[in-house]
Amino acid sequence: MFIIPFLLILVSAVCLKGVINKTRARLAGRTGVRFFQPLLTIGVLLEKGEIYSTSSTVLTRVAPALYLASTLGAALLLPLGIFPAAIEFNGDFILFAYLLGFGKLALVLAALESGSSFQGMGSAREVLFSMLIEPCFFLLLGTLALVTGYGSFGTIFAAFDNMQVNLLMLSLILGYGFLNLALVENGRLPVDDTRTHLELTMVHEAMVLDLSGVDLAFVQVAGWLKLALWGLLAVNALVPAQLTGGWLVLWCGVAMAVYGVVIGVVESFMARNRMTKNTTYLVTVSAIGLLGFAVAYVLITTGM
Amino acid sequence: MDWMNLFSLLVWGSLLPFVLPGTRYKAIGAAAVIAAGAVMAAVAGVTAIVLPGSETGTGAWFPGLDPIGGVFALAVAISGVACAVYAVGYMPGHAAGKSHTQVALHFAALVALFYAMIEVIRAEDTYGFLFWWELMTLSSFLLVMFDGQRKEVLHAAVSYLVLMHVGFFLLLGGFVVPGGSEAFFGSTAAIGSATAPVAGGTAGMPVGAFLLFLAGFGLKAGIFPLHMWLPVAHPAAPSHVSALMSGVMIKMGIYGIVRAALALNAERIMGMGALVFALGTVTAVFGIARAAVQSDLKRLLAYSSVENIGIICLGLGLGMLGRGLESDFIAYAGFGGALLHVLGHSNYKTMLFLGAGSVVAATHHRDMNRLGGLLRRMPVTGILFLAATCAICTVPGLVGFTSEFVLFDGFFGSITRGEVVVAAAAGIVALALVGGLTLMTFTKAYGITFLGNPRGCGAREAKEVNLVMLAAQALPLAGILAGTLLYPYLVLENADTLFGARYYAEPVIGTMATVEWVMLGVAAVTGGLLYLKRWLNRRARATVRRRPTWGCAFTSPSGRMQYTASSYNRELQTLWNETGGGRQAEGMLAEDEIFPTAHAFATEDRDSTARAVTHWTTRLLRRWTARMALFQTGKTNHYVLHALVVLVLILILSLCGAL
Repeated sequence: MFIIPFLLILVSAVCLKGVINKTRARLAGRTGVRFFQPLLTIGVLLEKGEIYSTSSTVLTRVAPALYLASTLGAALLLPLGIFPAAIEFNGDFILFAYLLGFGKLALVLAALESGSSFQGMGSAREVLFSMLIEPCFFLLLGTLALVTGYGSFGTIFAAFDNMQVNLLMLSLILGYGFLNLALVENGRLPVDDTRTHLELTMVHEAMVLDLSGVDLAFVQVAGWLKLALWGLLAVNALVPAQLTGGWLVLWCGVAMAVYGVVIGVVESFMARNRMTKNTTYLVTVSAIGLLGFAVAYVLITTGM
Repeated sequence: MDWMNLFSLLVWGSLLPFVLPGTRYKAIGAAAVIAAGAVMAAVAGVTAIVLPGSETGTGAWFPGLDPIGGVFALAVAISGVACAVYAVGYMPGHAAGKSHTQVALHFAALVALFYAMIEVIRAEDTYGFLFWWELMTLSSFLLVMFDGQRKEVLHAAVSYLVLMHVGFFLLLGGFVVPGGSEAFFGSTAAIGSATAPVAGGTAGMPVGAFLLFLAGFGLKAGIFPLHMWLPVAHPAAPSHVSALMSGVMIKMGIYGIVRAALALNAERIMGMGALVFALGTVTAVFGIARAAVQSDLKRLLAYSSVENIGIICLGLGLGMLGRGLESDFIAYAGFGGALLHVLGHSNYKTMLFLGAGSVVAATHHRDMNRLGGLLRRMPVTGILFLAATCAICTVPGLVGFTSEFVLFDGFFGSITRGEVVVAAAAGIVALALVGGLTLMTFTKAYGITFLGNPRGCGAREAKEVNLVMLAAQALPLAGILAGTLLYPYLVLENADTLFGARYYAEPVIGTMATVEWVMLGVAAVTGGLLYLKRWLNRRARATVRRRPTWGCAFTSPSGRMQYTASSYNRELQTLWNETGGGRQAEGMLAEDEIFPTAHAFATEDRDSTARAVTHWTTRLLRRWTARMALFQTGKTNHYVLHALVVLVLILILSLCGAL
């Protein structure tokens, strides 16, 4: 039971990139690359040797592996509806946030080791954006804790009964908040464009410019995992209560596919924000978290 | 001779540096005296926490040390030894050209500062407390003054001295308010008995006294908006001094606030708790947002200390609210988190300041825009600084995570219990923002200073510092690693005797053990992945090469073209400038200057809040002194009249007293 969410993350991590690519291609009237093309690309990267900057130390060699390992650790903490996570304790979402933060710290330091302005620029933007978004995550979790009265991922999502009319509204706000978190944390549009070719407009991609070979493969796999992780959080907020067994797995599969399609659609029809507008955008996302909390607080205090 | 007398005798060890020859021997003498006291203080501190004495709350063999004091004594002991040992390696190079007396005075002050802090913790009456408090101020003033030939150091030291005396008079006021002194020194005695949920006797601490204490201690601790001395004094002082001051001396202010808070009774503690909580929130966010835009390494660390004091106050405020609500859980998480943060922060901040000291000693620069690439030139310092950076960025499995976890858990726990929900949400937002900004600040501090390529010749020619300094920097590492499990055991297991709230000690320690396992797993997977990488490289017969960083087709990059500290935080700086504070440039070229003359360009970082507070108070002071000048007429007959009036007043007052 407790391994199911982790397996689902792994499976959707492999598939999500394909779903997004296909959606984008269809909307642009193209056939697009093969569904599992990202996997093949990784295969190519694994065959290559790394090139390290002359200004780098052992930090750059370790950081990508550390990034992937900490993301895997975070994946073990996520439940799915009533399926518990592999590791669960009171306040596990704090560890979840800080594990991902640890991975980010490692990657940022590795980027700064290259001594290039592009990597510096990417790191500076990455930490600024994640700083502005961080209150949103904790506020959304606080909202769930307020509504359910529990303090860990597993118990919260198992007890979150969004089939009541009042809480359905809240569930939608939470789902939307987590979706936005997913977009920002994974460097998707409208905050960051993964496909941009111009270093000056990159955020996350600029950070990993100097990585190559197996290291780059690690970072990309970790990126897929993060995409699936944050997606699963949004799915969790929206999963109908009392759903269980095979239906829950099926529902999760469909929801994750929809999540991929949504990202694909957003990336087809939206342009990236201007860099200077991103801060405003991110503060607005955090305001959604605050909105969710305020709604829940009103619901609780008025006894609805 | 009992232990206490022996300990008091050691204070006279501060005279030892005067008789020893040479800087190195003076330093060794001072370090030995401090180490002797530190061992006793640490053992006594732990004993006081684990085995609290009689119902008076004093340790059996180390009088005056109650459990709360024990926590602070432990912090002082660890940082004190690290700083004293560091001075042995640091001062011989730094004190070149100073006279015998100056150096001796410096080490005497170092010893005096250490013992004054321990004695402040041990003090059981007003007179003793204020005496040691004043000695603490004076000795730290002498320590900051060491490079007093430089103008900015002199200015920093004198303003520090003035501000600390303002604080001193506020404290004096707090003790003079009826009931203030009794409540302050009686606070922990009532906790030991643990009968009443809210301690401090029946009367408790008066609100007026508490506010005076909060202002006086807050000035020492650096609570917003009284933080103005920290970012000035810390960069000016020698590094081991700023480490000691930032690591533990400012915590003496927290110690005072904790005692005063525990002495409040139930009616008053809610309002005061909300005040401390609000101050903590503002201090934490303000401090780290200021730290993030600094390019002076030591000033960045000083502002980061302001932030950490804010986090501690956030915890204290939560704990006070919990006491007011008689909710054991909230009081537990609040005070517990705050005390854990005191211990953790004293360790990693000491380490960071000592590391910064090594950087300054090796490169002669504090400005990060001139540093870079030091990890390859000073590997040990670099790795130790990295460990402390990880701890302050709350990497799970290190001590910084423990305290923030307990605080977060307290906030979420209050939310699930439906108590102080709004305050808890504010606390969550503040802590999350602070966490994100800390990541930004310290990736900058580490990345710009230690990584990349050197930006100046100081950094290019840097050499690793000597072994003694490295050993001293490594000393707090024990606390950072072991403290993750040890400090919760000390503070949370004994929450009952520390602040009279026992709730869920076991879960937190269990959780921390789980976190350690998860991190061990992460480390193991990392190892496995590295092994996998090697295997893949071998299988594909791929070669690992070293090449210059890809420069986007630019062929001759220089170190000066890297991202600097100022560019790293440019976007945050823009946010600051929109709100009025921040960096101002001087000496810009005017647009109509067709043939520009020589220009000196400089940017100045302005803390407009600190400025506003200083200006406002000095203006007020000036206005009042101008009014007092009414009596200064310059006529002898008026002055004789003043003397007569005073004599008559004395006569009348003593008559009143006699009646």
